[in-house]
Amino acid sequence: METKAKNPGKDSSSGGPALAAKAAAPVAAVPGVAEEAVVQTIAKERSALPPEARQFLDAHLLANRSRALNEQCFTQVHTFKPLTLTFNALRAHSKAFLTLRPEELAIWSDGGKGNRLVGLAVSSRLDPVLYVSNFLINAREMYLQTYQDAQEIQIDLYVRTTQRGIKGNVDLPPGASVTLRSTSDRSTVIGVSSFAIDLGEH
Amino acid sequence: MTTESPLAGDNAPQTAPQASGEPAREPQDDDVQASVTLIPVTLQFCNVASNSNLSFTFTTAGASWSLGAKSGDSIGFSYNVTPVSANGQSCIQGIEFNNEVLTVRTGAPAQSGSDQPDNAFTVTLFLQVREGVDYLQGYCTLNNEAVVRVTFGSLVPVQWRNGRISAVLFAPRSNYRPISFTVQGARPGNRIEVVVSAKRGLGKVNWSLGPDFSESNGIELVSQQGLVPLTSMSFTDNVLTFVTTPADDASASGGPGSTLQFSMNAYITWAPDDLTYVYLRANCNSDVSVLAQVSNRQPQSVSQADTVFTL
Repeated sequence: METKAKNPGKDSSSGGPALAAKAAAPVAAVPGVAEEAVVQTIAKERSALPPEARQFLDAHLLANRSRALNEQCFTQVHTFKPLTLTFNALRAHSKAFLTLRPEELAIWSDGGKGNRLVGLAVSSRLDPVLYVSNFLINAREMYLQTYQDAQEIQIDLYVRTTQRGIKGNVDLPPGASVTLRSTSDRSTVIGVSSFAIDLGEH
Repeated sequence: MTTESPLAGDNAPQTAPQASGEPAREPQDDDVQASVTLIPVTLQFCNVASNSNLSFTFTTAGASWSLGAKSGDSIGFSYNVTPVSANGQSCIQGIEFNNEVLTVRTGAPAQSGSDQPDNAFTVTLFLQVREGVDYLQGYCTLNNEAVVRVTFGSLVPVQWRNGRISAVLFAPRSNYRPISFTVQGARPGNRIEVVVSAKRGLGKVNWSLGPDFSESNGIELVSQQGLVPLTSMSFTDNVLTFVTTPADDASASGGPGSTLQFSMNAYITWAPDDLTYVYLRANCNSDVSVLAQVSNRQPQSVSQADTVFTL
């Protein structure tokens, strides 16, 4: 996004070495091919598609309906409410999945600016190491993949929201449970369930 | 991302005087500061000691670790045990970050027979930088053998070792992403093709050497088995083709019946800029596995049909 804006004015006046001017010139998106040519090819392909295919060309934008809401939370909400999640008895080679509902005006957060010492923390309290081969936490999702029986995995984070409470869903392997604890409420769920938890006033 | 619009060209001339003119005002502005950029970051750790505490601390104002604002696209703060790591087992006991500090606590070594576990893993997250911040400095605490390769956006990875750290940040070109993949389970003489494509009518995507004139990392082919087990490799707009070494040569390095493994780092580039996903497909035997990671997205295995990777 930035390189394209680099060329106006400055290059022609400097009259520097040819190489320098070339480096600052706009570069084609695909080496050796002018960007307009690529865009034209894409447009040509698009117009050659049957109408029903063209209609659903942008279907991927519908597939992720929380994107705008995430952005809104990230830029406009400055209230952070602490939450602790404890996953218990996750068995080997299983996955735990926990999400915030797509319509909630709330996202997971590391606490934003400020001098909070704990931002976002994932730790194993009883096992010598975290028995996960991978995990992912993003604005609304949380995903843990174990390779060995894990007794307890604790996640501390913040919820970026002005809502009084939040709702979400969990998908846990048999025998596992997750406990959510806010400053004013606690909830434990198992299996495939939904949860709701009160986060208190600010 | 939150941020791509304010960085665009017409604003650039205005921001420069702002940044240099009123540096004193900036630190108070943090919460209302609208124009921040989120740069995807991938940290690749290797040779990390057990029972230790690793930390990365920034001392540059305006640069901080962040969880980002995206969901649903296999992106965010993630931890992944590298496939080449010993037994694919985790070595960390806890990991946490706030604005300035990223801390990783490693646990006791596993009770496996191997004397020297090669603790390797990757961590992905975002770096949030305020407009005008074009470098960062700080320090990190690591064991002396540990090396961390850190990739900011599509820039060349920087290597961080114990001590002072720094990185130069450019606003990332929006239509390039580094991509790395590992091929495992190949037999001698196999032909493996990795094809990148986009939905017809939506965009075009190509393999690339990285942004032009940007000191990008280009293409890198590595093997964990000593020699790269290939007789040929070819690189075209859409297809990467590998042919592994025939049986008699391969047995010299790996022994008969063993499988071959190699990794590659390359770039993809696409048009138009707002394309949000591409397809990767592996044309090879089904016992060969190809695991790919696009920028700071979680790794996913590439199947023999089109596999979706978000950008």
